[in-house]
Amino acid sequence: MTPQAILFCILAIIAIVAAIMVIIQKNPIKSILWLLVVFFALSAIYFSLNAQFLAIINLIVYAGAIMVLFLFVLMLINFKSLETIQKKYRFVFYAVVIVCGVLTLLMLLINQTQSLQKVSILNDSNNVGLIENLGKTLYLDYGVPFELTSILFLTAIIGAVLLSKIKKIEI
Amino acid sequence: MEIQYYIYLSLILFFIGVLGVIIRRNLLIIFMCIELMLNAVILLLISFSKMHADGGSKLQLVDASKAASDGQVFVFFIMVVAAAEVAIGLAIIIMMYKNLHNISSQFLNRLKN
Amino acid sequence: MIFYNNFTYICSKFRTQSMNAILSTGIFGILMLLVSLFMKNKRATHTLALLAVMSIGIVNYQEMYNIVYVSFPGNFFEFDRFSLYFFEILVALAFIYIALNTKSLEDMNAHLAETYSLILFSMCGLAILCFYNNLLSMFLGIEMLSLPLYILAALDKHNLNCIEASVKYFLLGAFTTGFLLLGIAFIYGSNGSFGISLDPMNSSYSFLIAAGLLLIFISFAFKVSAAPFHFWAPDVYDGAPTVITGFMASISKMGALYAFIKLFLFQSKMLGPTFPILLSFLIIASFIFGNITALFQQSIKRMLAYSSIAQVGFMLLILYLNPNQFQEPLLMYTMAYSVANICIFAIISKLPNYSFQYFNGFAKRQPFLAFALSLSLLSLAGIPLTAGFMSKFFVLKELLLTHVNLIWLAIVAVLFSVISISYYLKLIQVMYFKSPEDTTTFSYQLNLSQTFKYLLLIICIIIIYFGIFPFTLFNFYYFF
Repeated sequence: MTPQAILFCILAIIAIVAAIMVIIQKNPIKSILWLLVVFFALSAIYFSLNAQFLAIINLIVYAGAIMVLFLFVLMLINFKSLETIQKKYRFVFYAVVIVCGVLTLLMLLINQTQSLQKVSILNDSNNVGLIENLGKTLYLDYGVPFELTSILFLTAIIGAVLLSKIKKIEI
Repeated sequence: MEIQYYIYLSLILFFIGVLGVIIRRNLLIIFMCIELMLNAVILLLISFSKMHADGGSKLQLVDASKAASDGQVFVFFIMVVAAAEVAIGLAIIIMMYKNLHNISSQFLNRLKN
Repeated sequence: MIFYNNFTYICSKFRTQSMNAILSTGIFGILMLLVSLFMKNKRATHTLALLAVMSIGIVNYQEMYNIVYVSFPGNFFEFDRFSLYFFEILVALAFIYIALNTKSLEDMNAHLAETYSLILFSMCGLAILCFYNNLLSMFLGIEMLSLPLYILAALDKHNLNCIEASVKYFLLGAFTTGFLLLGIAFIYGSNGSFGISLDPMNSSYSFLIAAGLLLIFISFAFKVSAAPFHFWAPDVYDGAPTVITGFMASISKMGALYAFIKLFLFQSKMLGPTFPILLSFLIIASFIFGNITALFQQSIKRMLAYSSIAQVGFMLLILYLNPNQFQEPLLMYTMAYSVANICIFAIISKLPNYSFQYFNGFAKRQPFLAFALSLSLLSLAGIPLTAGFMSKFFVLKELLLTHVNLIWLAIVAVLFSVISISYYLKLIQVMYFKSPEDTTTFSYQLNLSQTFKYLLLIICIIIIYFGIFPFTLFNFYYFF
């Protein structure tokens, strides 16, 4: 085992365990905190995959902004009313069996795929994930979609304002 | 490290997210599981991007570094869309809480009958 | 100097593309928002929205003759003649939709200008879906189409049904986005790029490409609400404000369907022989779920939701056709189906309730509305001399010309559309031949403007005209 492999194993185990904790925790606050752990572990993996800038962005956007937004919403909502009846265990059991079955099938098929065999991720570093390269690609090659996403954000802003406005504002 | 392990990890995370969407009833947690799914996809894209950059793929790519940066730029767009979706989704969930005083999916049964 | 270098770099590397339609929809959406600050007059807002849609149509029409205002580098979009023409038709339908529904949109919410700008943003997504040439722009298009729809579906904020519909729509939509992205990631892994022209030379990567296409197929089937991924559609169509349902069921559905067809008509070879089997499974499931369930519905809105699932089954037959012959059936189907649905939803959004009892003796109270409603229902059912008949006829004709061995599927389609006639006729029969049981329903006065009636008359003429002279629609495409 190379050091890289050991690091990957540790991070992968942390991510998987934390992800499982997200879905079995009863308290939503704890779920959010476990999801943060997943994001940190994944960011570390992105670092090792030469995506340094994306790792930082992942922390800032996902862990920093989106998860905090979730926490805020959870604080706004009265906790007592959140205790809901769990679904029937039989249903949960079937869901777990089916999802695990599909997952195992997909993993077996990927294991069999010729083209992915003996393709290894090297330990070297290149400049793909650096800000300079990504910025050039984003603003030169991907300029048009980048501008179009501004409309998406505008939609989100209008939506959030329209939906959470309490009464008509007369100007 | 072989590429398969990265694919396995992202598939496992993705399907944990799917499982969470199926079995949980709290809408906020369902929504968080969707975010988990998106993050699993991001991991997949980044590892494929690294694979193309290393030239490890058996494709005869004309420009390996362009293929690699394409994958990483796509991740930006996923994050942008995820952020916009979160803004709208949380607004809808709060709107539901204001009217129903609950955010459990078992209260979504009015339209069935 | 640096700027100049960058500029020449851009120009040398890419074809430039004009984006008249996409840009103008976005700009007019933003303009609606800005203008609403200063303009409180509702009538002026309606006029502005209609003018905006009309200018989008004109600008898009000019692009068909290579009159271009702004052009951008990149290869994210492909502006071929058919896509331009298809978008032109969608814009025309949107014009009819807004003109018919001005009053209902005004009553739905206090924020009229914002509603219009959301509709325009959603049309921007439709434009992207019509012209995309890249998986990234496809993804952005789908999101830009759906995000405004999530908001529009939630606008009736204090109605519990509406809230339920929007929550379901949003969560299931976001869930399928995850699958769509997983599919795109698989295709990227095998292909090294996000282009939609997949290379069949890399046969060793076939598993990843097949899995990716399958996931994208599922998420598109969800977007157009084909069974067995249809479960959200009846609830959402039922719960959302009726005006918005009219938009979702006609224009946005046809845009998503065109994106679906555009990807899979050319790339289905990568899925091999499983693709026709998968598709026939989807089609027959849509027929069964849509038609059989629609028979037992008590509410008109729900009945129409299920019938639209059945119609999707018919539309998906287009995916069997060759790339050079899908145009005519698709154009005809878009026109007939959307016009009929816009008309029906515009009428029922004026009514106080949607149960069959309300329609008892409707023809005596509102003879003209009943006539327009019946004509649209007959068109959806596919009765001869209406546009709906011609659309179904063209689909089946092209299908049998391409694949003679698919005659069993054509027979199944015809049988199910015979079943569908029964529930459409049930409503017509209730309107014309039943007398109202209680007189309380009379007390509700419908205040219909004269313009609304004239527009309905125009729609009736369109339905009958295209039922008799369908080739007019294609003549514009071929000769002008």
